[in-house]
Amino acid sequence: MTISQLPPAGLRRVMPILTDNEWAWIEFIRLCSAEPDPVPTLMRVQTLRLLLEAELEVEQSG
Amino acid sequence: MKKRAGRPYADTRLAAFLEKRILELKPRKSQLEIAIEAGFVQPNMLSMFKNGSNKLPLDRVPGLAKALECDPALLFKLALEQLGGDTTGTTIEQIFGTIVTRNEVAWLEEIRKASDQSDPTLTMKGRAAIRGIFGK
Repeated sequence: MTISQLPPAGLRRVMPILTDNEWAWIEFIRLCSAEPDPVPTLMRVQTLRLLLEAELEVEQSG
Repeated sequence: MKKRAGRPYADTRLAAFLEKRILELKPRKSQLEIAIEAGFVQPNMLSMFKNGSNKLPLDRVPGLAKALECDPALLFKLALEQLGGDTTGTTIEQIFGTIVTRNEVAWLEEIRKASDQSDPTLTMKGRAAIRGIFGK
């Protein structure tokens, strides 16, 4: 691939660096979802947010 | 992975994804238009990927993802799966890290934001919540 064939800057992707914990979350989401690429819908995200915020609160108070 | 005679990739997730995506795009563009847009010299190549008689070569992923209007990382991941026991996928992930789709990046961002960047461990409660989200 020559420089002129490279995709424009906005289309280039950089893979995020995942921690071991983040990798575990993503792997579990992949495992539980029957879809090849589960969409983080508002309802799904709200459920996840509630849990994480509650766990964060417990962690901070204790 | 099950293998049907003459269609060794019929039961791969990529074949299923192509069938679904082509159907979704049908009101706007035909399979032939998708194949031409993806740059296939022989438009029937797309049928061969869809029915699983051929695997999708990795260098075809960017063009096909653009024509299918889908995330190239997802299509790349599915194409890697078709390599089966091949070490290519493992090597790519060893060098460049885990391949994550745009949707997975969005999940990650939510996890990071909601946990105040505390890198939360996947607890039993977390597992139960994820199972609940996906109805498992």
